Amino acid sequence: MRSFGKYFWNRIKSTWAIPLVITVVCFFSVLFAIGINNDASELPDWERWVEDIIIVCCTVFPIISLWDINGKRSAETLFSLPVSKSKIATAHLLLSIIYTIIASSLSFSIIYAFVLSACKYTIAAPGYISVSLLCSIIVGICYCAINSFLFTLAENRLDGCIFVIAWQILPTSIIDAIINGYFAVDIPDRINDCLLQPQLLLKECYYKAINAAEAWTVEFIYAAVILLILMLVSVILAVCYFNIFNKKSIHKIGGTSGSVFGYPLLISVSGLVIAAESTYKGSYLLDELMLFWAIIFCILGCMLYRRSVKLKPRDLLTIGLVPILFFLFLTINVIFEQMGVFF
Amino acid sequence: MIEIKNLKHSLEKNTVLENVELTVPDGCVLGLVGINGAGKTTLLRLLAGVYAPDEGTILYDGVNDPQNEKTRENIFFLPDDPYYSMQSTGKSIFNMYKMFYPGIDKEIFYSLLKDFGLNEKKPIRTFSKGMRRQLYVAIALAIKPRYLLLDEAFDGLDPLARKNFRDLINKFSDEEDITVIISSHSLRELEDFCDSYVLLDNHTVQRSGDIADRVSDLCKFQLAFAEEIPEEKLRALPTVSLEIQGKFVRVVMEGDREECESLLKELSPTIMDEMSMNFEEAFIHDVNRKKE
Repeated sequence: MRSFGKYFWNRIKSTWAIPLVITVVCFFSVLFAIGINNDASELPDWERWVEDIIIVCCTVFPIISLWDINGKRSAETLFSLPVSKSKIATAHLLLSIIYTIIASSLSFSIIYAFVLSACKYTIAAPGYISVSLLCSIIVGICYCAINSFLFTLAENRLDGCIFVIAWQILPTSIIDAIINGYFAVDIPDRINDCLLQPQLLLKECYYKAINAAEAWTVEFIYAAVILLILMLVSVILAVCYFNIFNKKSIHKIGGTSGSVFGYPLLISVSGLVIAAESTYKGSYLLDELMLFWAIIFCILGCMLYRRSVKLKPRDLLTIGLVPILFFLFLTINVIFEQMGVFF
Repeated sequence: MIEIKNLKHSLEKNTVLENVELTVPDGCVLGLVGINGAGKTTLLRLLAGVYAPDEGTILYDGVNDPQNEKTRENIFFLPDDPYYSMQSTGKSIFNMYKMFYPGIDKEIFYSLLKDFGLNEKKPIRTFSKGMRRQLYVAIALAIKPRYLLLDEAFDGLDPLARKNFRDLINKFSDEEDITVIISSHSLRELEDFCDSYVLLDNHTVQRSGDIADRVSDLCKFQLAFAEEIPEEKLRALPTVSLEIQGKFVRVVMEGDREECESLLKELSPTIMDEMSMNFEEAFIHDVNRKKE
């Protein structure tokens, strides 16, 4: 444990400044937004703003914490220290979680105090605030685990940042495409919100749970299932994170990120989202055009991934998957339309 | 003592090292030589525990694996291009290593910095490559590890700094009983202070032993003939290398010096001079002979 403690302390000393700057910048931007808002009735939005800070923190802090691991020289130096790889992996994950908890708690508490003094009336009960903060922290920890996995999946820093940001955006885009397209017309839009801001649903769970009469509404079940999925996914990805971390090899770091869950899947899914974007508008011409642009996007994506215009046979599979999935979507849509499920 | 047994390591699909067998005695200064891509850095990374071998074992003192944290406390690996951040100074790097190597000697570090003329408060990013290497060498020597692994140790050092470095390694190796494994392409430098060498070629240890013995195994002669001598006659000799320029011949032979000399005298040269060999030439001959 001594070596873990030393390593952890060393990482705190090397990285504390950037999270502090990010937290302070976010914090002051929220305060500024509150400050210029003269209408006290608008102030309840402050909570949403603080949650935005938390989302920023749990996206950026894993990247900062793992930055040195995706650099060839830094990783070589860190891996040659008398500390095992498992302890190094634990230290980096823990560091991003701790930064997120500290930043969340500080932002939440200080901004709440500020709003409370500005409003001159009780804006929310302290109990609600505590639960709200706790919910945000739990979701923040889940995101830290997911983003740590995504950054470690990459072999270099740029790819790591692309993976983290793209996989934050894509799930909601897929849901968007599905909701606006063929499936899920009867599924409430809140699922979309849920993927963006799961902590809102966590709070909802809490309030539904303490009110037994309302506990088993459809919304509650949606919320519970989605939150359960988020937690399950974050636990699975945390295990994968340790597995990938232990297999990290210096000679691969700095090179192309070859994981199937990296660029290949990302490019195919993005292409599908672009292609599916137009389908609900009902224009076949537009459908074909969007599919064409989706394929162009995939080709460009593969070139960016390979850092070369010369593509490999595996890339053709990535590109070819888009029209296959797209026509599968169309087929399902036609079947469902004939069954009278949608539209 | 370091014992390497049947070591194999591949990077993706390329086998870099295989069937590596080597024993490095305590207190030895070992030079690791080989052409580019021979696997010197890979072997050092395996010894430092940065890589885990695919097959085989590396044992420190007969029992300890470099993947073990306790073993690694006795090892210091200085990579070819060690990492530093934008804000890093000599002092901050020293403090970082102090956490992991509590026995690091502050006095040695600061006295070496003074000798090298380095300011510990200046950001490392403002240092030249040679200055950075001097800083890390100062850290390595201040740590006084039992096993010191240096990759491309002389890279970026000026001749004076190289001499200082050689003297320091010799001094610390003698006084602190440090075992040093040093990879370098500066074979003249290695010849001056290494006890023994290992030649890596074709994924394995091609040759190893005492540097002085290897150099004395080879003898080089320069010959001049009254007339051009048929090449077949020269090729029939047990030569390691042969250079023919008209009536002048330069030949390197392996084996007993007197025997080689008598064989050459049979060709009746008008002039025959023995020239001194060095480790770099021996290395070139060894590598070229393997290719042929």
